Amino acid sequence: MAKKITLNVPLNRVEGDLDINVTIEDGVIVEAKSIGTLYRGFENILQGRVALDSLVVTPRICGICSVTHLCAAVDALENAQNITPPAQAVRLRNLSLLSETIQSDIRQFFLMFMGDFTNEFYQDAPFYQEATHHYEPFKGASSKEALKKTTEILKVVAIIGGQWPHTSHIVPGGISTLPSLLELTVAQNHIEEIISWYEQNVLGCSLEAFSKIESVESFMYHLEENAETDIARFTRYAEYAQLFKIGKTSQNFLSYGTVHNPLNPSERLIKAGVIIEGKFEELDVSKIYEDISHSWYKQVNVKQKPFDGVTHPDMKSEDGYTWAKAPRYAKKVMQTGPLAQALVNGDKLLTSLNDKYGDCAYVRELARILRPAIHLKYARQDIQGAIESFGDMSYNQAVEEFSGEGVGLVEAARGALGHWVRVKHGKIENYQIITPTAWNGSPQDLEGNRGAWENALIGLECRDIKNPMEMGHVVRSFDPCLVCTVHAIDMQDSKQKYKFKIGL
Amino acid sequence: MRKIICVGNRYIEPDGAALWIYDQVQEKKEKYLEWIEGGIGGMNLLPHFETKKEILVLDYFAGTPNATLFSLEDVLAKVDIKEYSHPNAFYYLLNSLDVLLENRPKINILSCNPQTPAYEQEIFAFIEQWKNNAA
Repeated sequence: MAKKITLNVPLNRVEGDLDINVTIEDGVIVEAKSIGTLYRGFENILQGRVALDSLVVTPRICGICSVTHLCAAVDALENAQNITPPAQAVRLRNLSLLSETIQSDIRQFFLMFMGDFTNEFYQDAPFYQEATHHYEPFKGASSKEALKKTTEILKVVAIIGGQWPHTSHIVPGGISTLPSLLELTVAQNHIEEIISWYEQNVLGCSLEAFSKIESVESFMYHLEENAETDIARFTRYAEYAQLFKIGKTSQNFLSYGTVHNPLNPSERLIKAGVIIEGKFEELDVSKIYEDISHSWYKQVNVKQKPFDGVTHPDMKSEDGYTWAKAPRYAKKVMQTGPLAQALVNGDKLLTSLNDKYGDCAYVRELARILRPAIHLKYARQDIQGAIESFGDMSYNQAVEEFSGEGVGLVEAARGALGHWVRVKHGKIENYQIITPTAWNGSPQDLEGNRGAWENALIGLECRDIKNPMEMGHVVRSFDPCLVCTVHAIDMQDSKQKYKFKIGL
Repeated sequence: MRKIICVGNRYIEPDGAALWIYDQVQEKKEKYLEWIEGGIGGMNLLPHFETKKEILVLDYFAGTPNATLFSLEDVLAKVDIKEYSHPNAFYYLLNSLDVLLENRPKINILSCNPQTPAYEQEIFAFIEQWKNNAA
């Protein structure tokens, strides 16, 4: 008789709490449910407030993606008022958003993902001592250095924003601060310092040289030649842990694109779009809706367009098992994040890796630690442009009281973030936010389609259910901000309870 | 000059207690204190610790009497942090300061418990005394 076990895996986040409930038969996951356990209701907090209050409230939704939420809120208000910011403001906004995303990518890789390889689960692995030396929490040489360097890049936001954290320097029409030429030069130094560290330690070559690596074969050759880089160590550990085989969910990807062209702000230099079953399509925002059939909300209108979305909590809804809604694009479950961003933008190396290995945990995590190679080049370009254009206007007067609706689409560290706002006589009538984690960690929809990481867990073999490291790798590759304390109940003996940890 | 960093999630009761204290000082001008809205900045607050100023962190501690002062060492001994995660990021940061900074500042943590009647007055009274002790 097959042994059936249900595990409940709390994956707590700053933005809220997240659990994953899995059923395991003979060591293989046969069912997975993603459970958002904390009702937030920011949409309801914003209703009735003055439109500009969204610039103060939304950066406090998340401590890690604070600037990203600010950008989305501002984009939505500018879209509603048809405002275009001046070029200098675009450069400084790009720098703010890029800095936040770069620090998030690097910290997630070093402090969260690589730390797993120092777990006792791998104590017999050939790399264990090396991994511990580099990535052990608090002590690992590489992790400590990564933490220091990511602090340097965040100083760029502090310089531009004039306040840190929870800055509101980005406003409809431009930015509200005027960094001096000296401050911009200091920011440039911070950017060059992190580029130098990233090239030497993570990549093993310059940003320019790395951009010429376009195939799996040349990438693997580069890793052999640069065996003491972080991406080479990660690849060796990933081979041992079989991360090339696990964590696949689908070939449906969504990215809103990022890095606005200062001279044509409606253009995103890293383009937006979707890939559906492997084929690229232009993004059509009207195809986005939220399904609440398995969410704890009043089941009045099960499929809601964001502009008309309502947030009426109801834990008694019959099929509900989460506070998260289920965003869908043209009825499709989409995954979002660094891999989606790279594939939508036509990145040749990650496209060839995805073609060969699929959207496995290795490729998804690799995309995250390779993304700074792209973002740092744009940061270098934008800070140079900001210095050369010092003194140029960085604010256009915005309309103070208006009526209209707008959408702000931003590429956050974890993927596609959207804010939808409807304003009437200067006050917010309706506000809806769809976060990247809602896309990746969504529950089932009315048609029974599982969310992205729910689906990625199905079929996963767990060698040690008391320390289900494979689950940790798969879910962490989506970067949902988890802590991974696992509570388990053996369904064959409901009195027996375990408490243990995935990962560290 | 001393620095006060208020941490917590202002939208969650009672976690936002330190931020509600912070909101009240926005109306005042403090000559000898620098107030920081740390909020849910977590690890991102590291730049604020790159200072020689003595720091007082205001935070909510469940089950702890209002206006109780802890040294950083006391808190780290009580809070068992083995790894980095977003919810424990701030205390991971505090636990890392000795390896990240050559000379970390003196840090104390003051508990804010909004379930205590008139908790703000107790906090402000403590801060007034703490500020004067520095003069």
